[in-house]
Amino acid sequence: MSLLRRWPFTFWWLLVFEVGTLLRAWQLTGARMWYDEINTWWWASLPIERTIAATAADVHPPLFYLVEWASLRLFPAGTAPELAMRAPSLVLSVLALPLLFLICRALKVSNAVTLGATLIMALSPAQIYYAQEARMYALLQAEVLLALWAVLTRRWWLVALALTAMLYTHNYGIVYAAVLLCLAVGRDVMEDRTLPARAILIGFGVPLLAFVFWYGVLSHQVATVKETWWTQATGLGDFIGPFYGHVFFSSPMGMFIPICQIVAYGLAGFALFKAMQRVRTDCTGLMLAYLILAPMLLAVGIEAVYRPIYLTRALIGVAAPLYMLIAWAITDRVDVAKRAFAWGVFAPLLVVSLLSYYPAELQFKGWGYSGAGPVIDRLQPGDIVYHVNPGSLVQFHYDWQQADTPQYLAPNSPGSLGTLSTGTLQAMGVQQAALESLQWRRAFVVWNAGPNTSLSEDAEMQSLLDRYPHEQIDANELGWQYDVTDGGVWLVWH
Amino acid sequence: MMSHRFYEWLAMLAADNANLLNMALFGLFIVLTWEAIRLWPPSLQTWLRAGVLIIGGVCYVAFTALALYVLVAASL
Repeated sequence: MSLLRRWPFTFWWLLVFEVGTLLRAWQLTGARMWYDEINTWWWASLPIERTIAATAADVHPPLFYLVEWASLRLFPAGTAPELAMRAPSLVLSVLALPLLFLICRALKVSNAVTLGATLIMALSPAQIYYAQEARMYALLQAEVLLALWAVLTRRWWLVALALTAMLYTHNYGIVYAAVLLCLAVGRDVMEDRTLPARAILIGFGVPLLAFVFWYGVLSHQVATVKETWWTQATGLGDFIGPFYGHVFFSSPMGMFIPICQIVAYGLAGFALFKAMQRVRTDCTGLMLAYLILAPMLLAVGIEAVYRPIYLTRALIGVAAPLYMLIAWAITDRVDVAKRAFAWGVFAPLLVVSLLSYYPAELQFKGWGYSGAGPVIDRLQPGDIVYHVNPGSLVQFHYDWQQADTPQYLAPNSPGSLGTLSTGTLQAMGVQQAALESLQWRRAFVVWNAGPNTSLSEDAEMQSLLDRYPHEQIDANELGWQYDVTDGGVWLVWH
Repeated sequence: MMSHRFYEWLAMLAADNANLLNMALFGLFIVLTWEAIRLWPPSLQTWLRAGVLIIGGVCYVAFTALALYVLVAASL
């Protein structure tokens, strides 16, 4: 403690902020882009109307892709796509640290709690992962934190701005907007204050009005995606997954995983217990517990009436309140010895999971079958590449530099889950055609089958191989301990 | 109709779900054990807490050391 008191709080906070920034920037472009990131890059490189069309025919709102569209054009031509595409997430993830600080100030928690929460956020591998991913989760988190701070400080136009951005970033924005509305109303009711109806109307009515442009698209997405959505029903273990996933992340740390899980759940359980215990004297814990549990429960509620939608990554908005609650529970009005004990158990595991994050990320993002290498080695003039589903086509977009070689995609197979829709593929400029309708002498048929690939596609692929002489030149053998992938590359000729 | 890969994947998800639940129960068990010591006579509480801390500390250090050894061995 004496060391902590020797320099002012601002010094320590800035030090943690600096460390957090460096950890997010380090190895930013080290890992290859994975399937979803390649899609982001592809869509961002299209003319703006086609970027929006590709998004509208998929499952997300367009704001993040527009940010990426701008980012791609702001960086000089020739910049590595990994840098141009991941830079916005990096900036937004760094921005989340001062937003967390502002929320801690608005909640009037002590400097020690503020420092502890910032430290967890700075070191959490989950946060670093989203800071280095060309997807919308760092943006979503920054918007949730900005909206929360604006609600706590009654800046209603800022609430309107943040919620509008949130609704246009991710469909989970609706969940967070509902949770924050209840917080804004509930706080005034509990404090016996007159409800600022006009302010609430600005903060929450304006975003609803602004969202009207996308509402029709969302209705269409909800109706069309329902039958092909890939997530499965949420079990109790999945439900509480964010308590572990947002702190230690799911990197392959081998034997550290169980100990990290036990500590994460133990801490979360203890923190929630303490929040309930303190409810008569201090509402901070209760409010943080609400900000964590309410979005999780609401997501499960929507799942009950629609279909499985529960995703730990989309619940990134509960991460910062979770860090604050843990820091509050093991720091606030806790004597020095117990505080040291709790941090002594927790902090080393956080550091170990952080250290194992970087190699794990390379491994995770490197996972995904491309098959481009064997094709490039054997390519001759006049050859074509034929993809049985969009999986390999998207991977080729990243690995493939042979722009002159025509590539085609088989017409959509019925029954496969989570695949790109026809509307999105059209916006991406993908040529869909049956192999027999094309002019070719030799074709490289690439088939990348995962768990969500239907039997009808397996049958189509088999029928294609029955019709033409062929030779398998590569196999997809990325099955972990389970046999969840299949496929490879076949050279087919007339 | 989905292939065998889909059902293997479901089995994988179910295993993850069960694993998370088991670890959560284990973590909560430790927290509740600590809290439940309050229910014992005051003269025993110090001994019980010391016992839990020593056993927990030994398990934590042993498990962490083993995990570190496995992690380092795997990276060599």
